[in-house]
Amino acid sequence: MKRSVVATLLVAVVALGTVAGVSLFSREEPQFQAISDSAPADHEYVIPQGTGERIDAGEAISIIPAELEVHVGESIRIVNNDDRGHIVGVFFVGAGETMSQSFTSAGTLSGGCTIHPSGEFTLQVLN
Amino acid sequence: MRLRPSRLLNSVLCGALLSFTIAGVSHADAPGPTDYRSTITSVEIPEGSSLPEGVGISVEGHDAFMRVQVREGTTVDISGYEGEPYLRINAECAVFENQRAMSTWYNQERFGSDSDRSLVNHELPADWIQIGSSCAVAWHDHRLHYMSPSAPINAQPGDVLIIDSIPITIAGTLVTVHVESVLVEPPSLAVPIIAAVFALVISGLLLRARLASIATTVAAVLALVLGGAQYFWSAPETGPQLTVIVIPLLAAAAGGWAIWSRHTPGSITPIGTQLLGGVLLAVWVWQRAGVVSAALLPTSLPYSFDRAGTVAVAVVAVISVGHAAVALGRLMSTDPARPTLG
Repeated sequence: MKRSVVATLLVAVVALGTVAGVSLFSREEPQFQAISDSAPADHEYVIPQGTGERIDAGEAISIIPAELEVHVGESIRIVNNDDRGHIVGVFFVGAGETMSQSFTSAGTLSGGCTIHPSGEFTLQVLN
Repeated sequence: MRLRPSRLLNSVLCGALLSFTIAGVSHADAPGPTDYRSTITSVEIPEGSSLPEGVGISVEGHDAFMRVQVREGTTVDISGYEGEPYLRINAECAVFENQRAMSTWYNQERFGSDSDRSLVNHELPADWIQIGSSCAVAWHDHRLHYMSPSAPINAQPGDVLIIDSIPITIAGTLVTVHVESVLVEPPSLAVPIIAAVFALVISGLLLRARLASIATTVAAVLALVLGGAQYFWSAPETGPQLTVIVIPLLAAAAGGWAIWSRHTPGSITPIGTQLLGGVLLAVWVWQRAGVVSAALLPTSLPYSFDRAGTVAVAVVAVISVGHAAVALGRLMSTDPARPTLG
Protein backbone atom coordinates (compact mmCIF):
# COMPACT_ATOMS: atom_id res chain seq x y z
CA MET A 1 0.00 0.00 0.00
CA LYS A 2 0.93 2.44 -1.65
CA ARG A 3 1.20 6.00 -2.48
CA SER A 4 -1.63 5.50 -4.88
CA VAL A 5 -3.95 5.64 -1.88
CA VAL A 6 -2.75 9.12 -1.07
CA ALA A 7 -3.14 10.04 -4.69
CA THR A 8 -6.66 8.62 -4.60
CA LEU A 9 -7.51 10.70 -1.55
CA LEU A 10 -6.13 13.83 -3.09
CA VAL A 11 -7.93 13.19 -6.34
CA ALA A 12 -11.16 12.63 -4.39
CA VAL A 13 -10.75 15.92 -2.55
CA VAL A 14 -9.94 17.79 -5.76
CA ALA A 15 -12.87 16.10 -7.52
CA LEU A 16 -15.28 17.06 -4.74
CA GLY A 17 -14.04 20.62 -4.86
CA THR A 18 -14.36 20.70 -8.63
CA VAL A 19 -17.90 19.34 -8.54
CA ALA A 20 -18.88 21.90 -5.92
CA GLY A 21 -17.27 24.69 -7.90
CA VAL A 22 -18.83 23.66 -11.18
CA SER A 23 -22.28 23.33 -9.65
CA LEU A 24 -21.95 26.77 -8.14
CA PHE A 25 -20.50 28.72 -11.00
CA SER A 26 -21.41 27.03 -14.27
CA ARG A 27 -25.00 28.03 -14.73
CA GLU A 28 -26.07 28.65 -18.29
CA GLU A 29 -27.90 31.82 -17.45
CA PRO A 30 -27.99 34.92 -19.57
CA GLN A 31 -26.18 37.98 -18.28
CA PHE A 32 -27.57 41.48 -18.20
CA GLN A 33 -26.30 45.01 -18.08
CA ALA A 34 -28.25 48.03 -16.92
CA ILE A 35 -28.75 50.72 -19.54
CA SER A 36 -30.06 54.25 -19.32
CA ASP A 37 -33.81 54.61 -18.99
CA SER A 38 -33.70 57.18 -21.79
CA ALA A 39 -31.91 54.87 -24.25
CA PRO A 40 -34.10 53.16 -26.85
CA ALA A 41 -35.20 49.61 -25.92
CA ASP A 42 -36.14 46.73 -28.24
CA HIS A 43 -38.83 45.35 -25.93
CA GLU A 44 -40.83 47.76 -23.78
CA TYR A 45 -43.72 46.99 -21.46
CA VAL A 46 -45.74 49.30 -19.24
CA ILE A 47 -47.48 48.18 -16.06
CA PRO A 48 -50.42 50.58 -15.56
CA GLN A 49 -51.45 52.05 -12.27
CA GLY A 50 -53.97 49.88 -10.45
CA THR A 51 -52.56 46.59 -11.76
CA GLY A 52 -51.98 45.27 -8.25
CA GLU A 53 -55.56 46.00 -7.25
CA ARG A 54 -56.82 44.24 -10.37
CA ILE A 55 -54.72 41.19 -9.44
CA ASP A 56 -56.13 41.27 -5.90
CA ALA A 57 -59.61 41.32 -7.38
CA GLY A 58 -58.84 38.10 -9.22
CA GLU A 59 -58.43 39.60 -12.66
CA ALA A 60 -56.02 37.86 -15.05
CA ILE A 61 -53.41 40.39 -16.13
CA SER A 62 -51.67 39.99 -19.47
CA ILE A 63 -49.08 42.67 -20.07
CA ILE A 64 -46.11 40.59 -21.14
CA PRO A 65 -45.96 37.31 -23.09
CA ALA A 66 -45.41 34.10 -21.13
CA GLU A 67 -42.33 33.43 -23.26
CA LEU A 68 -40.08 36.05 -24.75
CA GLU A 69 -37.32 35.27 -27.23
CA VAL A 70 -34.64 37.92 -27.63
CA HIS A 71 -31.08 38.17 -28.91
CA VAL A 72 -27.81 39.18 -27.32
CA GLY A 73 -27.38 42.92 -27.75
CA GLU A 74 -31.10 43.67 -27.52
CA SER A 75 -32.66 45.33 -24.52
CA ILE A 76 -35.81 45.27 -22.43
CA ARG A 77 -37.53 48.05 -20.53
CA ILE A 78 -40.35 47.63 -18.02
CA VAL A 79 -42.05 50.78 -16.79
CA ASN A 80 -44.02 50.23 -13.61
CA ASN A 81 -46.65 52.91 -13.06
CA ASP A 82 -48.34 50.84 -10.36
CA ASP A 83 -48.13 51.56 -6.66
CA ARG A 84 -46.55 48.19 -5.88
CA GLY A 85 -43.54 46.30 -7.19
CA HIS A 86 -43.92 43.52 -9.75
CA ILE A 87 -41.93 40.40 -10.50
CA VAL A 88 -41.39 39.68 -14.19
CA GLY A 89 -39.44 36.44 -14.37
CA VAL A 90 -35.98 37.26 -13.11
CA PHE A 91 -36.64 40.99 -13.00
CA PHE A 92 -38.13 43.09 -10.25
CA VAL A 93 -39.54 46.52 -10.96
CA GLY A 94 -40.37 48.58 -7.91
CA ALA A 95 -43.43 50.80 -7.58
CA GLY A 96 -43.10 53.82 -9.87
CA GLU A 97 -39.75 52.63 -11.18
CA THR A 98 -38.38 51.82 -14.61
CA MET A 99 -36.01 48.94 -15.29
CA SER A 100 -33.86 48.90 -18.41
CA GLN A 101 -31.45 46.06 -19.14
CA SER A 102 -29.56 44.81 -22.18
CA PHE A 103 -28.74 41.15 -22.76
CA THR A 104 -25.02 40.45 -22.90
CA SER A 105 -24.97 36.65 -23.17
CA ALA A 106 -27.24 33.80 -24.23
CA GLY A 107 -29.28 31.50 -21.99
CA THR A 108 -32.71 30.81 -20.60
CA LEU A 109 -34.30 31.95 -17.38
CA SER A 110 -37.74 31.28 -15.96
CA GLY A 111 -39.48 32.76 -13.00
CA GLY A 112 -42.74 33.91 -11.50
CA CYS A 113 -44.63 36.73 -13.11
CA THR A 114 -47.39 38.85 -11.68
CA ILE A 115 -48.37 40.40 -15.02
CA HIS A 116 -49.22 37.28 -17.03
CA PRO A 117 -52.19 34.97 -16.37
CA SER A 118 -49.95 31.87 -16.18
CA GLY A 119 -47.98 33.45 -13.35
CA GLU A 120 -44.73 32.52 -15.09
CA PHE A 121 -42.35 34.17 -17.51
CA THR A 122 -39.59 32.51 -19.52
CA LEU A 123 -36.89 34.56 -21.14
CA GLN A 124 -34.74 33.01 -23.83
CA VAL A 125 -31.72 34.97 -24.97
CA LEU A 126 -30.25 33.74 -28.26
CA ASN A 127 -26.92 34.58 -29.86
CA MET B 1 -5.26 -3.24 16.38
CA ARG B 2 -3.62 -3.74 13.00
CA LEU B 3 -5.58 -2.09 10.26
CA ARG B 4 -4.32 -2.09 6.72
CA PRO B 5 -4.26 1.31 5.05
CA SER B 6 -6.34 0.00 2.16
CA ARG B 7 -9.04 -1.10 4.59
CA LEU B 8 -8.76 2.22 6.37
CA LEU B 9 -9.32 4.04 3.10
CA ASN B 10 -12.31 1.85 2.31
CA SER B 11 -13.78 2.50 5.75
CA VAL B 12 -13.38 6.24 5.46
CA LEU B 13 -14.85 6.34 1.97
CA CYS B 14 -17.78 4.18 3.11
CA GLY B 15 -18.34 6.50 6.06
CA ALA B 16 -18.31 9.53 3.79
CA LEU B 17 -20.63 7.86 1.30
CA LEU B 18 -23.01 6.89 4.10
CA SER B 19 -23.13 10.42 5.47
CA PHE B 20 -23.75 11.86 1.98
CA THR B 21 -26.53 9.31 1.53
CA ILE B 22 -28.13 10.15 4.86
CA ALA B 23 -27.93 13.85 4.02
CA GLY B 24 -29.53 13.22 0.66
CA VAL B 25 -32.47 11.06 1.61
CA SER B 26 -33.60 12.95 4.66
CA HIS B 27 -36.63 15.28 4.43
CA ALA B 28 -36.85 16.71 0.95
CA ASP B 29 -36.66 20.36 1.83
CA ALA B 30 -36.53 21.42 5.46
CA PRO B 31 -36.17 25.12 6.32
CA GLY B 32 -32.80 26.45 5.25
CA PRO B 33 -30.98 29.76 4.98
CA THR B 34 -32.77 32.37 2.90
CA ASP B 35 -32.59 36.00 1.80
CA TYR B 36 -36.33 36.61 2.00
CA ARG B 37 -38.58 37.32 4.97
CA SER B 38 -42.24 36.52 4.47
CA THR B 39 -44.89 37.74 6.85
CA ILE B 40 -48.64 37.58 7.26
CA THR B 41 -49.92 41.11 6.78
CA SER B 42 -53.54 40.36 7.67
CA VAL B 43 -56.04 37.55 8.09
CA GLU B 44 -59.42 38.24 6.54
CA ILE B 45 -62.58 36.42 7.54
CA PRO B 46 -66.12 37.03 6.24
CA GLU B 47 -68.12 39.65 8.07
CA GLY B 48 -70.11 38.17 10.89
CA SER B 49 -67.87 35.08 11.11
CA SER B 50 -65.32 34.22 13.74
CA LEU B 51 -62.61 31.63 14.07
CA PRO B 52 -62.68 28.91 16.74
CA GLU B 53 -60.36 29.14 19.75
CA GLY B 54 -56.83 27.87 19.30
CA VAL B 55 -56.34 28.59 15.61
CA GLY B 56 -52.74 29.48 14.76
CA ILE B 57 -51.58 30.56 11.31
CA SER B 58 -47.89 31.33 10.85
CA VAL B 59 -44.97 31.49 8.46
CA GLU B 60 -42.23 29.00 9.34
CA GLY B 61 -38.61 29.00 8.20
CA HIS B 62 -38.63 32.76 7.48
CA ASP B 63 -40.32 32.23 4.11
CA ALA B 64 -40.36 28.49 3.52
CA PHE B 65 -43.61 27.19 4.99
CA MET B 66 -47.15 28.24 5.76
CA ARG B 67 -48.35 26.46 8.90
CA VAL B 68 -51.81 26.03 10.35
CA GLN B 69 -52.58 24.63 13.78
CA VAL B 70 -56.01 24.05 15.30
CA ARG B 71 -57.49 22.35 18.33
CA GLU B 72 -59.20 18.99 18.31
CA GLY B 73 -62.69 19.32 16.90
CA THR B 74 -61.78 22.01 14.34
CA THR B 75 -61.45 20.99 10.70
CA VAL B 76 -59.17 22.56 8.11
CA ASP B 77 -59.35 22.31 4.32
CA ILE B 78 -56.61 23.72 2.13
CA SER B 79 -57.00 23.96 -1.61
CA GLY B 80 -54.15 23.70 -4.10
CA TYR B 81 -53.14 26.25 -6.72
CA GLU B 82 -55.74 24.95 -9.16
CA GLY B 83 -58.50 24.80 -6.55
CA GLU B 84 -58.07 21.07 -6.08
CA PRO B 85 -58.40 19.47 -2.60
CA TYR B 86 -54.84 19.45 -1.24
CA LEU B 87 -54.56 19.17 2.56
CA ARG B 88 -57.07 18.41 5.26
CA ILE B 89 -57.18 18.19 9.05
CA ASN B 90 -60.18 16.32 10.43
CA ALA B 91 -61.89 16.82 13.78
CA GLU B 92 -59.74 14.09 15.34
CA CYS B 93 -56.50 15.96 14.48
CA ALA B 94 -55.50 13.59 11.69
CA VAL B 95 -53.76 15.33 8.78
CA PHE B 96 -54.31 14.12 5.21
CA GLU B 97 -52.74 14.91 1.84
CA ASN B 98 -54.36 14.33 -1.54
CA GLN B 99 -52.02 12.24 -3.68
CA ARG B 100 -53.88 13.32 -6.81
CA ALA B 101 -53.33 17.04 -6.21
CA MET B 102 -50.77 18.82 -8.38
CA SER B 103 -49.84 20.92 -5.35
CA THR B 104 -48.82 17.81 -3.39
CA TRP B 105 -45.95 17.21 -5.80
CA TYR B 106 -45.10 20.78 -6.72
CA ASN B 107 -44.84 21.73 -3.04
CA GLN B 108 -42.35 19.04 -2.12
CA GLU B 109 -39.48 21.49 -2.42
CA ARG B 110 -38.99 25.14 -1.49
CA PHE B 111 -38.27 26.19 -5.07
CA GLY B 112 -40.83 23.86 -6.64
CA SER B 113 -40.41 20.20 -7.44
CA ASP B 114 -40.11 18.44 -10.78
CA SER B 115 -40.91 15.07 -9.22
CA ASP B 116 -43.06 12.51 -11.01
CA ARG B 117 -46.63 13.76 -11.27
CA SER B 118 -48.14 10.69 -12.89
CA LEU B 119 -50.60 10.36 -9.99
CA VAL B 120 -52.00 13.85 -10.49
CA ASN B 121 -55.61 13.82 -11.58
CA HIS B 122 -58.07 16.49 -10.55
CA GLU B 123 -60.97 14.77 -12.29
CA LEU B 124 -60.97 11.80 -9.93
CA PRO B 125 -62.01 11.97 -6.26
CA ALA B 126 -59.20 12.92 -3.86
CA ASP B 127 -56.88 10.11 -2.78
CA TRP B 128 -56.17 10.99 0.84
CA ILE B 129 -53.27 9.52 2.79
CA GLN B 130 -52.61 10.39 6.40
CA ILE B 131 -49.37 12.33 6.95
CA GLY B 132 -49.77 13.44 10.55
CA SER B 133 -51.89 13.41 13.66
CA SER B 134 -50.92 16.58 15.53
CA CYS B 135 -53.70 18.96 14.44
CA ALA B 136 -51.06 20.95 12.56
CA VAL B 137 -49.76 21.01 9.01
CA ALA B 138 -47.05 22.95 7.20
CA TRP B 139 -46.49 23.18 3.47
CA HIS B 140 -44.30 24.99 0.94
CA ASP B 141 -46.85 27.47 -0.34
CA HIS B 142 -45.23 29.16 -3.32
CA ARG B 143 -47.45 32.21 -3.03
CA LEU B 144 -45.46 32.93 0.09
CA HIS B 145 -41.96 33.25 -1.33
CA TYR B 146 -39.88 34.23 -4.33
CA MET B 147 -39.11 31.12 -6.32
CA SER B 148 -35.40 31.46 -6.96
CA PRO B 149 -32.35 31.28 -4.71
CA SER B 150 -30.95 34.27 -6.62
CA ALA B 151 -32.58 37.60 -5.94
CA PRO B 152 -34.38 39.09 -8.93
CA ILE B 153 -32.45 41.52 -11.07
CA ASN B 154 -32.99 45.12 -10.03
CA ALA B 155 -34.35 44.21 -6.57
CA GLN B 156 -32.95 46.04 -3.56
CA PRO B 157 -33.01 45.04 0.12
CA GLY B 158 -36.32 46.14 1.55
CA ASP B 159 -38.23 45.68 -1.70
CA VAL B 160 -41.54 43.87 -1.29
CA LEU B 161 -41.22 41.14 -3.91
CA ILE B 162 -44.41 39.24 -3.24
CA ILE B 163 -47.89 40.39 -2.29
CA ASP B 164 -50.39 37.58 -2.40
CA SER B 165 -53.13 35.80 -0.49
CA ILE B 166 -53.72 32.20 0.53
CA PRO B 167 -57.23 30.85 1.07
CA ILE B 168 -57.74 28.36 3.91
CA THR B 169 -61.05 26.96 5.10
CA ILE B 170 -61.17 26.60 8.87
CA ALA B 171 -64.25 25.07 10.50
CA GLY B 172 -66.16 25.78 7.30
CA THR B 173 -65.17 29.46 7.22
CA LEU B 174 -63.11 30.72 4.30
CA VAL B 175 -60.10 32.56 5.71
CA THR B 176 -57.92 34.68 3.43
CA VAL B 177 -54.35 35.00 4.64
CA HIS B 178 -52.62 38.00 3.10
CA VAL B 179 -48.86 37.65 2.86
CA GLU B 180 -45.87 39.56 1.60
CA SER B 181 -42.21 38.73 1.13
CA VAL B 182 -39.33 41.18 1.44
CA LEU B 183 -35.74 40.92 0.22
CA VAL B 184 -33.39 41.22 3.20
CA GLU B 185 -29.99 42.92 3.33
CA PRO B 186 -27.15 40.38 2.86
CA PRO B 187 -24.84 39.86 5.84
CA SER B 188 -21.32 41.16 6.20
CA LEU B 189 -18.63 38.59 5.48
CA ALA B 190 -16.31 40.12 8.07
CA VAL B 191 -17.36 37.77 10.87
CA PRO B 192 -16.88 34.55 8.83
CA ILE B 193 -13.49 35.77 7.60
CA ILE B 194 -12.34 36.57 11.13
CA ALA B 195 -13.63 33.19 12.29
CA ALA B 196 -11.71 31.44 9.50
CA VAL B 197 -8.46 33.17 10.45
CA PHE B 198 -9.03 32.43 14.14
CA ALA B 199 -9.77 28.76 13.43
CA LEU B 200 -6.71 28.54 11.20
CA VAL B 201 -4.45 29.93 13.93
CA ILE B 202 -5.87 27.73 16.69
CA SER B 203 -5.75 24.64 14.47
CA GLY B 204 -2.15 25.45 13.53
CA LEU B 205 -1.16 25.69 17.19
CA LEU B 206 -2.86 22.38 17.94
CA LEU B 207 -1.14 20.79 14.95
CA ARG B 208 2.25 21.94 16.20
CA ALA B 209 1.45 20.46 19.58
CA ARG B 210 0.42 17.20 17.82
CA LEU B 211 -3.15 17.68 19.02
CA ALA B 212 -4.98 17.78 15.69
CA SER B 213 -7.55 15.25 16.86
CA ILE B 214 -8.53 17.63 19.65
CA ALA B 215 -9.28 20.31 17.06
CA THR B 216 -11.44 17.81 15.17
CA THR B 217 -13.36 16.89 18.33
CA VAL B 218 -13.89 20.47 19.44
CA ALA B 219 -15.12 21.40 15.96
CA ALA B 220 -17.49 18.43 16.03
CA VAL B 221 -18.92 19.57 19.36
CA LEU B 222 -19.35 23.09 17.97
CA ALA B 223 -21.10 21.62 14.93
CA LEU B 224 -23.34 19.63 17.25
CA VAL B 225 -24.36 22.82 19.08
CA LEU B 226 -25.08 24.63 15.81
CA GLY B 227 -26.92 21.62 14.38
CA GLY B 228 -29.00 21.25 17.53
CA ALA B 229 -30.01 24.91 17.42
CA GLN B 230 -31.07 24.43 13.80
CA TYR B 231 -32.96 21.19 14.38
CA PHE B 232 -34.99 22.37 17.35
CA TRP B 233 -35.70 25.80 15.84
CA SER B 234 -37.91 24.32 13.15
CA ALA B 235 -41.52 23.28 13.72
CA PRO B 236 -41.81 19.47 13.57
CA GLU B 237 -44.23 19.64 10.62
CA THR B 238 -41.52 21.27 8.49
CA GLY B 239 -39.38 18.14 8.68
CA PRO B 240 -36.12 19.41 10.20
CA GLN B 241 -33.12 17.31 9.17
CA LEU B 242 -31.76 15.04 11.87
CA THR B 243 -28.49 14.82 9.93
CA VAL B 244 -27.44 18.24 11.20
CA ILE B 245 -27.12 16.55 14.60
CA VAL B 246 -26.22 12.98 13.70
CA ILE B 247 -23.25 13.81 11.46
CA PRO B 248 -21.40 15.96 14.03
CA LEU B 249 -22.24 13.38 16.68
CA LEU B 250 -20.46 10.73 14.61
CA ALA B 251 -17.61 13.16 13.94
CA ALA B 252 -17.26 13.83 17.67
CA ALA B 253 -17.15 10.10 18.33
CA ALA B 254 -14.48 9.66 15.65
CA GLY B 255 -12.48 12.57 17.07
CA GLY B 256 -12.78 11.19 20.59
CA TRP B 257 -11.60 7.83 19.40
CA ALA B 258 -8.64 9.50 17.69
CA ILE B 259 -7.71 11.23 20.96
CA TRP B 260 -8.10 8.04 22.95
CA SER B 261 -5.95 5.98 20.60
CA ARG B 262 -3.31 8.55 19.70
CA HIS B 263 -0.69 7.21 22.11
CA THR B 264 -1.09 3.59 21.03
CA PRO B 265 2.27 2.66 19.49
CA GLY B 266 2.11 1.57 15.87
CA SER B 267 -1.61 2.02 15.59
CA ILE B 268 -3.18 3.37 12.44
CA THR B 269 -6.49 3.97 14.24
CA PRO B 270 -5.88 7.64 15.13
CA ILE B 271 -5.20 8.44 11.47
CA GLY B 272 -8.33 6.70 10.29
CA THR B 273 -10.63 8.13 12.93
CA GLN B 274 -9.33 11.64 12.45
CA LEU B 275 -9.74 11.28 8.70
CA LEU B 276 -13.29 10.02 9.17
CA GLY B 277 -14.07 12.85 11.61
CA GLY B 278 -12.75 15.41 9.14
CA VAL B 279 -14.72 13.95 6.25
CA LEU B 280 -17.91 13.90 8.32
CA LEU B 281 -17.42 17.52 9.29
CA ALA B 282 -16.86 18.40 5.64
CA VAL B 283 -20.17 16.74 4.75
CA TRP B 284 -21.90 18.67 7.53
CA VAL B 285 -20.44 21.95 6.27
CA TRP B 286 -21.43 21.09 2.70
CA GLN B 287 -24.98 20.54 3.95
CA ARG B 288 -25.07 23.98 5.62
CA ALA B 289 -22.87 26.00 3.27
CA GLY B 290 -25.65 28.51 2.58
CA VAL B 291 -25.51 29.95 6.09
CA VAL B 292 -22.38 31.96 5.31
CA SER B 293 -23.95 34.25 2.75
CA ALA B 294 -27.70 34.10 3.46
CA ALA B 295 -29.38 36.90 5.36
CA LEU B 296 -31.69 34.75 7.51
CA LEU B 297 -30.67 31.45 9.06
CA PRO B 298 -32.62 28.48 10.40
CA THR B 299 -31.41 28.75 13.98
CA SER B 300 -32.27 30.08 17.39
CA LEU B 301 -28.67 31.24 17.86
CA PRO B 302 -27.33 34.65 16.82
CA TYR B 303 -26.68 34.53 13.10
CA SER B 304 -23.11 35.79 13.42
CA PHE B 305 -22.30 32.97 15.82
CA ASP B 306 -23.77 30.41 13.43
CA ARG B 307 -21.85 31.79 10.44
CA ALA B 308 -18.58 32.07 12.36
CA GLY B 309 -18.98 28.58 13.84
CA THR B 310 -19.76 26.99 10.49
CA VAL B 311 -16.72 28.59 8.86
CA ALA B 312 -14.53 27.49 11.77
CA VAL B 313 -15.79 23.92 11.42
CA ALA B 314 -15.06 24.07 7.67
CA VAL B 315 -11.48 25.15 8.32
CA VAL B 316 -10.92 22.41 10.88
CA ALA B 317 -12.50 19.83 8.55
CA VAL B 318 -10.08 20.69 5.76
CA ILE B 319 -7.12 20.67 8.13
CA SER B 320 -8.18 17.36 9.69
CA VAL B 321 -8.52 15.65 6.34
CA GLY B 322 -5.31 17.15 5.00
CA HIS B 323 -3.32 16.33 8.11
CA ALA B 324 -4.59 12.76 8.23
CA ALA B 325 -3.86 12.32 4.51
CA VAL B 326 -0.28 13.53 5.00
CA ALA B 327 0.15 11.23 8.00
CA LEU B 328 -1.18 8.37 5.92
CA GLY B 329 1.30 9.20 3.17
CA ARG B 330 4.16 9.20 5.66
CA LEU B 331 2.95 5.91 7.04
CA MET B 332 3.05 4.30 3.64
CA SER B 333 6.49 5.63 2.83
CA THR B 334 8.08 4.75 6.17
CA ASP B 335 6.19 1.62 7.21
CA PRO B 336 6.75 -0.25 9.49
CA ALA B 337 7.91 2.74 11.54
CA ARG B 338 4.46 4.21 11.70
CA PRO B 339 4.10 7.80 12.76
CA THR B 340 1.79 8.72 15.55
CA LEU B 341 -0.88 11.27 14.99
CA GLY B 342 -1.72 14.10 17.30
